[in-house]
Amino acid sequence: MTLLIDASVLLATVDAGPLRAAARALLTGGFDLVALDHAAWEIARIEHARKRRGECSEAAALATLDVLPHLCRWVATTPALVRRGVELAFELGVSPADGLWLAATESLDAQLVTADAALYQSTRNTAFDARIVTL
Amino acid sequence: MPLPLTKGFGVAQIVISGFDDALLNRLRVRAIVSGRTLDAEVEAILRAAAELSADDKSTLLDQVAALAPARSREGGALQREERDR
Repeated sequence: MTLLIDASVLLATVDAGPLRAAARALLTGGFDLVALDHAAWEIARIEHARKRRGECSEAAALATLDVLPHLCRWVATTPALVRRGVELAFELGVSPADGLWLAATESLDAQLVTADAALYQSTRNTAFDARIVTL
Repeated sequence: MPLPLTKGFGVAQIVISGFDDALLNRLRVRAIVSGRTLDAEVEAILRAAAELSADDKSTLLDQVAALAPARSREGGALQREERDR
Protein backbone atom coordinates (compact mmCIF):
# COMPACT_ATOMS: atom_id res chain seq x y z
CA MET A 1 0.00 0.00 0.00
CA THR A 2 1.30 3.41 -0.98
CA LEU A 3 1.24 5.99 1.80
CA LEU A 4 0.67 9.57 0.69
CA ILE A 5 2.21 11.95 3.23
CA ASP A 6 1.38 15.63 3.38
CA ALA A 7 3.25 18.72 4.52
CA SER A 8 2.12 18.27 8.11
CA VAL A 9 3.87 14.89 8.33
CA LEU A 10 7.03 16.14 6.62
CA LEU A 11 7.15 19.11 9.01
CA ALA A 12 6.55 16.87 12.01
CA THR A 13 9.84 15.11 11.31
CA VAL A 14 11.73 18.26 12.32
CA ASP A 15 9.24 19.50 14.93
CA ALA A 16 10.15 19.26 18.58
CA GLY A 17 6.58 18.24 19.30
CA PRO A 18 5.07 14.90 20.36
CA LEU A 19 4.49 13.70 16.78
CA ARG A 20 8.15 13.79 15.83
CA ALA A 21 8.90 10.21 16.80
CA ALA A 22 5.90 8.86 14.87
CA ALA A 23 6.75 10.94 11.80
CA ARG A 24 10.38 9.81 11.92
CA ALA A 25 9.33 6.17 12.28
CA LEU A 26 7.15 6.53 9.22
CA LEU A 27 9.89 8.10 7.12
CA THR A 28 12.56 5.62 8.09
CA GLY A 29 10.39 2.54 8.27
CA GLY A 30 10.80 1.29 4.72
CA PHE A 31 7.25 2.19 3.64
CA ASP A 32 6.33 3.16 0.09
CA LEU A 33 5.99 6.88 0.77
CA VAL A 34 4.95 9.45 -1.77
CA ALA A 35 4.18 13.16 -1.56
CA LEU A 36 2.51 15.54 -3.92
CA ASP A 37 4.80 18.35 -5.11
CA HIS A 38 2.23 20.73 -3.67
CA ALA A 39 3.62 19.84 -0.23
CA ALA A 40 6.96 21.39 -1.14
CA TRP A 41 5.16 24.63 -2.02
CA GLU A 42 3.16 24.56 1.22
CA ILE A 43 6.31 23.98 3.25
CA ALA A 44 8.11 26.72 1.33
CA ARG A 45 5.38 29.20 2.24
CA ILE A 46 5.34 28.04 5.87
CA GLU A 47 9.12 28.31 6.20
CA HIS A 48 9.12 31.72 4.52
CA ALA A 49 6.48 32.94 6.98
CA ARG A 50 8.48 31.54 9.90
CA LYS A 51 11.58 33.37 8.75
CA ARG A 52 9.56 36.57 8.34
CA ARG A 53 8.25 36.23 11.91
CA GLY A 54 11.80 35.73 13.18
CA GLU A 55 11.14 32.14 14.23
CA CYS A 56 14.00 30.67 12.21
CA SER A 57 17.00 31.69 10.17
CA GLU A 58 17.16 31.75 6.39
CA ALA A 59 19.58 28.80 6.54
CA ALA A 60 17.13 26.78 8.64
CA ALA A 61 14.26 27.53 6.26
CA LEU A 62 16.30 26.53 3.22
CA ALA A 63 17.67 23.41 4.94
CA THR A 64 14.11 22.24 5.59
CA LEU A 65 13.46 22.52 1.85
CA ASP A 66 16.79 20.88 0.98
CA VAL A 67 15.95 17.74 2.90
CA LEU A 68 12.59 17.16 1.20
CA PRO A 69 13.81 15.36 -1.96
CA HIS A 70 15.44 12.70 0.21
CA LEU A 71 12.42 11.77 2.29
CA CYS A 72 10.03 10.14 -0.20
CA ARG A 73 8.99 9.86 -3.82
CA TRP A 74 7.38 12.94 -5.30
CA VAL A 75 4.55 13.11 -7.79
CA ALA A 76 3.52 16.10 -9.86
CA THR A 77 0.29 18.02 -9.57
CA THR A 78 -1.57 17.96 -12.89
CA PRO A 79 -4.46 20.07 -14.17
CA ALA A 80 -6.66 16.96 -14.08
CA LEU A 81 -5.77 16.36 -10.43
CA VAL A 82 -6.49 19.99 -9.58
CA ARG A 83 -9.84 19.76 -11.36
CA ARG A 84 -10.77 16.65 -9.41
CA GLY A 85 -9.59 18.33 -6.21
CA VAL A 86 -11.91 21.28 -6.74
CA GLU A 87 -14.74 18.89 -7.57
CA LEU A 88 -14.14 17.10 -4.26
CA ALA A 89 -13.90 20.45 -2.46
CA PHE A 90 -17.39 21.33 -3.69
CA GLU A 91 -18.71 17.87 -2.92
CA LEU A 92 -17.29 17.56 0.59
CA GLY A 93 -17.18 21.20 1.66
CA VAL A 94 -13.42 21.23 2.16
CA SER A 95 -10.82 23.69 0.89
CA PRO A 96 -9.47 23.28 -2.66
CA ALA A 97 -6.06 22.39 -1.18
CA ASP A 98 -7.62 19.65 0.94
CA GLY A 99 -9.58 18.53 -2.11
CA LEU A 100 -6.36 18.29 -4.10
CA TRP A 101 -4.87 15.92 -1.55
CA LEU A 102 -8.01 13.83 -1.48
CA ALA A 103 -7.86 13.68 -5.28
CA ALA A 104 -4.26 12.50 -5.08
CA THR A 105 -5.23 9.88 -2.50
CA GLU A 106 -7.88 8.62 -4.90
CA SER A 107 -5.64 8.82 -7.97
CA LEU A 108 -2.74 6.97 -6.36
CA ASP A 109 -5.05 4.49 -4.66
CA ALA A 110 -3.14 5.42 -1.52
CA GLN A 111 -3.70 5.91 2.17
CA LEU A 112 -3.25 9.55 3.18
CA VAL A 113 -1.27 10.09 6.37
CA THR A 114 -1.62 13.51 7.96
CA ALA A 115 -0.94 15.35 11.21
CA ASP A 116 -3.67 17.83 10.28
CA ALA A 117 -6.57 17.13 12.64
CA ALA A 118 -8.94 19.40 10.74
CA LEU A 119 -8.36 17.54 7.48
CA TYR A 120 -8.90 14.23 9.23
CA GLN A 121 -12.12 15.40 10.89
CA SER A 122 -13.51 16.92 7.70
CA THR A 123 -13.40 13.56 5.96
CA ARG A 124 -15.18 11.50 8.63
CA ASN A 125 -18.27 9.74 7.29
CA THR A 126 -17.26 10.36 3.68
CA ALA A 127 -15.90 8.03 1.00
CA PHE A 128 -12.43 8.92 2.32
CA ASP A 129 -13.16 7.82 5.86
CA ALA A 130 -10.98 4.70 5.69
CA ARG A 131 -8.36 6.26 3.45
CA ILE A 132 -7.06 8.89 5.86
CA VAL A 133 -5.12 8.24 9.03
CA THR A 134 -3.48 10.59 11.49
CA LEU A 135 -0.03 10.29 12.98
CA MET B 1 27.95 21.09 10.15
CA PRO B 2 26.12 23.12 7.50
CA LEU B 3 23.94 21.18 5.10
CA PRO B 4 24.96 21.28 1.45
CA LEU B 5 22.38 23.58 -0.08
CA THR B 6 21.07 22.69 -3.50
CA LYS B 7 22.37 25.13 -6.06
CA GLY B 8 21.80 25.42 -9.79
CA PHE B 9 19.31 23.79 -12.10
CA GLY B 10 21.42 23.29 -15.25
CA VAL B 11 22.55 20.03 -16.81
CA ALA B 12 25.29 18.89 -14.48
CA GLN B 13 28.50 17.13 -15.45
CA ILE B 14 30.97 15.31 -13.28
CA VAL B 15 34.56 15.04 -14.46
CA ILE B 16 36.73 12.51 -12.67
CA SER B 17 40.43 12.99 -13.22
CA GLY B 18 42.74 9.98 -13.43
CA PHE B 19 39.88 7.50 -13.65
CA ASP B 20 41.09 3.93 -13.41
CA ASP B 21 41.07 2.22 -16.85
CA ALA B 22 40.32 -1.20 -15.41
CA LEU B 23 37.31 0.16 -13.53
CA LEU B 24 36.14 1.94 -16.68
CA ASN B 25 36.30 -1.34 -18.60
CA ARG B 26 34.31 -3.09 -15.88
CA LEU B 27 31.68 -0.38 -16.10
CA ARG B 28 31.58 -0.74 -19.90
CA VAL B 29 30.96 -4.50 -19.55
CA ARG B 30 28.30 -3.90 -16.94
CA ALA B 31 26.63 -1.36 -19.24
CA ILE B 32 26.59 -3.89 -22.10
CA VAL B 33 25.10 -6.56 -19.83
CA SER B 34 22.33 -4.25 -18.65
CA GLY B 35 21.71 -2.89 -22.15
CA ARG B 36 22.48 0.71 -21.24
CA THR B 37 24.94 3.27 -22.46
CA LEU B 38 27.99 3.83 -20.27
CA ASP B 39 26.60 7.19 -19.16
CA ALA B 40 23.24 5.65 -18.31
CA GLU B 41 24.88 2.80 -16.43
CA VAL B 42 27.02 5.14 -14.32
CA GLU B 43 24.01 7.34 -13.64
CA ALA B 44 21.99 4.29 -12.54
CA ILE B 45 24.77 3.22 -10.18
CA LEU B 46 25.10 6.70 -8.72
CA ARG B 47 21.34 7.08 -8.40
CA ALA B 48 21.12 3.86 -6.39
CA ALA B 49 24.13 4.81 -4.27
CA ALA B 50 22.66 8.25 -3.52
CA GLU B 51 19.59 6.80 -1.80
CA LEU B 52 19.76 7.55 1.90
CA SER B 53 19.47 4.78 4.43
CA ALA B 54 17.08 5.09 7.36
CA ASP B 55 19.99 6.11 9.60
CA ASP B 56 21.14 8.70 7.05
CA LYS B 57 17.65 10.18 6.95
CA SER B 58 17.52 10.39 10.73
CA THR B 59 20.90 12.11 10.82
CA LEU B 60 19.82 14.57 8.14
CA LEU B 61 16.56 15.39 9.94
CA ASP B 62 18.46 15.86 13.23
CA GLN B 63 20.73 18.37 11.48
CA VAL B 64 17.78 20.30 10.07
CA ALA B 65 15.94 20.25 13.41
CA ALA B 66 19.06 21.53 15.18
CA LEU B 67 19.16 24.58 12.90
CA ALA B 68 15.86 25.94 14.21
CA PRO B 69 14.54 26.39 17.72
CA ALA B 70 11.35 24.58 18.69
CA ARG B 71 8.48 25.58 16.44
CA SER B 72 5.75 27.61 18.05
CA ARG B 73 3.15 25.44 16.30
CA GLU B 74 3.22 21.87 15.07
CA GLY B 75 3.10 20.67 11.47
CA GLY B 76 -0.61 19.99 11.48
CA ALA B 77 -1.46 23.48 12.70
CA LEU B 78 0.99 25.08 10.28
CA GLN B 79 -0.48 23.17 7.34
CA ARG B 80 -4.04 24.15 8.37
CA GLU B 81 -3.05 27.80 8.64
CA GLU B 82 -1.44 27.65 5.18
CA ARG B 83 -4.45 25.95 3.55
CA ASP B 84 -7.00 28.26 5.20
CA ARG B 85 -5.06 31.41 4.27
